[in-house]
Amino acid sequence: MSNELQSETTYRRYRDVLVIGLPPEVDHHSSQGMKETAGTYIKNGHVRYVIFDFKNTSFMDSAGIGMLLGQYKLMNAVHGSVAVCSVDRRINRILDMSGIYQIARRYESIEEALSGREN
Amino acid sequence: MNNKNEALETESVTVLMESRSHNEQFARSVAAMFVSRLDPTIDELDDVKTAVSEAVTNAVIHGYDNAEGIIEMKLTLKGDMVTVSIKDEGVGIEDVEKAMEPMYTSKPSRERSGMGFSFMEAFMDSVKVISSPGKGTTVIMTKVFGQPLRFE
Repeated sequence: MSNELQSETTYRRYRDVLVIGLPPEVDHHSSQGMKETAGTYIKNGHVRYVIFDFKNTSFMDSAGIGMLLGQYKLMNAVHGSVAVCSVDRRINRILDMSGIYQIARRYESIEEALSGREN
Repeated sequence: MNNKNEALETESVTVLMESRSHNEQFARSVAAMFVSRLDPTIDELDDVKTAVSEAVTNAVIHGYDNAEGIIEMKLTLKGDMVTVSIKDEGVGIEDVEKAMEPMYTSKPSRERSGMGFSFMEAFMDSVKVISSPGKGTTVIMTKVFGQPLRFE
């Protein structure tokens, strides 16, 4: 993986795992395309575990929370799970306030999220 | 901190923007720039950005239901206090109290967290919503900068 700052959302799939590299700002605008693209990956790839990588993200509002909830619902419907990783202090505050940690575990890195997978 | 509360000068900026989702980022960036003259902490800056983003997103999604319209953002500075007013001339809200309830969303079929107003209230000191159906909605939020840290 390069250390370049990613300005676009990235999608990488390994077997039944989808890693979504989130953009610098996760809001209503940047979330719009994610639902569809992630949905396509999930349906076509038999994805059962989605990892949201916040490494490049420094801003998120409640629309981003809505997007996470939407992906969780998709995963939950197929008995899969979701995780978040590389969350900074501000993003952590938003995730904590909105109760996301009740439905998604937090890891330090993608690698930890992969090895800590429970299902 | 000199002459605090005495003869405070008021200054303001008003921005008119089209109701488009990419203007959510524009609006919060302008708001961040405007309040930066108060020498805010990173958290204070982020609080304002989040609150502005929520209000403008509401205007785009709910006020104008993704159709055309103009959103007006007025930023006012008086001493250590910033007032942000976000106004649309969209559909308006019938029951403001209900709209502000945590987790409430008028569009449950879509991906909505229902946390927009909760975030505004969490990150600003006060949030007031003036709305009437068919006429539009104005959200007025205030925040005093340089407050000692609060633990909730």
